[in-house]
Amino acid sequence: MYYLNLLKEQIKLSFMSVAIFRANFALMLLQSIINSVLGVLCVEFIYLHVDSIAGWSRNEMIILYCTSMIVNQLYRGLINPNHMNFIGSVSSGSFDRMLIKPISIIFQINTGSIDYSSFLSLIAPIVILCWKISSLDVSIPRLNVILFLVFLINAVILLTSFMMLLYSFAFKHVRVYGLTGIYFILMSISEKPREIFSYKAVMYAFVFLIPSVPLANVPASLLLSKGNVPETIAAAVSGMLFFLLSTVAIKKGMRSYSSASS
Amino acid sequence: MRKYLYSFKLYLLASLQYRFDTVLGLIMSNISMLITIFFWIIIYRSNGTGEINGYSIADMITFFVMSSLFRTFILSSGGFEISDMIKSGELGKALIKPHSISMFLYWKHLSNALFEFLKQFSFLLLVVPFFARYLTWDLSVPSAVLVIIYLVTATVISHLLWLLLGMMAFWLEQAQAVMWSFAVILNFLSGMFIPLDFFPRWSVRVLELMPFAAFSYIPAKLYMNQLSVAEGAYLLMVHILWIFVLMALNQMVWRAGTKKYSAVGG
Repeated sequence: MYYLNLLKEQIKLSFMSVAIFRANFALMLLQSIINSVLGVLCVEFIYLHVDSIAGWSRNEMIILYCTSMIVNQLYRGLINPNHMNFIGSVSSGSFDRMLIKPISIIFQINTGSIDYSSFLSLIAPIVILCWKISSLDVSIPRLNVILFLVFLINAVILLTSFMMLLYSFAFKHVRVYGLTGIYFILMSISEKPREIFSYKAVMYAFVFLIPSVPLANVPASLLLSKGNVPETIAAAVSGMLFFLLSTVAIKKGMRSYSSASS
Repeated sequence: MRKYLYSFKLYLLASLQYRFDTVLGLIMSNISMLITIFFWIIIYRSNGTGEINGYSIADMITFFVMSSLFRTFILSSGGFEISDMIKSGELGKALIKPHSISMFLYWKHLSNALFEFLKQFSFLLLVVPFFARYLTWDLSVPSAVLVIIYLVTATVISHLLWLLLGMMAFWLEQAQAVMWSFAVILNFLSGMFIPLDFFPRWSVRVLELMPFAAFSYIPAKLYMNQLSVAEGAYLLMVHILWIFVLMALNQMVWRAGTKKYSAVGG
């Protein structure tokens, strides 16, 4: 209950900050929507010249792309601003303030402010996804929709944990902004069909080492009845594994933290 | 001119200082390119065809390799810098200095672009022996000259375009949102994600005449010999015309903006 109240306050405060910079908010929202629409257009243009890509039809590929966008926007809207604050606080020394608060460090690293423009731009990929699902010839069973939502949550947890694991290097190397590039690569791989990895071993490397396949391929495959059991289990295990690893890494990293400002 | 060339040299030397960042950036940009190449390989394989829309697989790989190399000459940082200067009030200090801010920013960011290009080019020289057979090698001397002129043109056009957007900070509290929106559209219309000839037929000609095409699409097509020298030269005239249009627009916006500027905090 205590943490829920904290979350409620954080949501309120972030909303108040949005209300001050309304024009910027509207433009950022527009930018995110343009981003989604142009991405979909790219897929549409490729499919003007081909019928299918590695067994993915035009609508299926757009569903995959939108799934990746949903995970991306959820992370960017809810988690990324807080991760940026975290790495900034370690290099500036203001991480001290987090340490003295009677709140879990993991909670503080992942929550705080919300980027409403990124969060609300979820609407564009969700609308396109629903439209494309309705354009499919087959009906989608309810179980598939539930599995899709479960693995969408798993994807956000996995992405959050993986980035937190990377950012835990801030305790050792102080400035780790360069690592944000890995996030863009991860998202760029996630929106492409897993078939780009010809070898199974490489594919599993992109599940357990650089976890991009579980981000969009697994939920989209489950929704479209294209998924398989080993991959689904691997995605769930990967989510749990990275969550545990990142928690341990943060706790270990904190031991080596020495306030930069003092 | 000497002062601009001096700043060019200074910033080039500064770029060499952050080696870890340089290596990290090099790895990241090349992984992204590799993923795009893998994606296109799977498109060709799954369609069992050697050619899609006039592009063989070697053409497509060459297009993305060359585009990523040429894109290093897109000078966008000047726009972000001027926007920050306006917002923070720093522009006040810059205004009293005996040099043109636009020229100073151009040479500063050109040095960064040149460094990025050399870095990327050296990396390609290292890896090219391993995938030379996947690339097309059709560059003629007239095309090579035209490619170089295009790259110079691209630096000027992109600098002027981004500066224009950065100057929106004179009127907007946050010009960054406008600039990011523009960046997304620019990437799309410059053929960063897919070559422009994959767009619907009616739009290709219009897009070739737009300033974004000069950034990477036209130079890459010239390199691959998919665009004749005559056609390339004709399009170059149009892009040079764009430079004059953008210069005039920059002048107008600059004059109107500096009249409104109040150096908050500066």
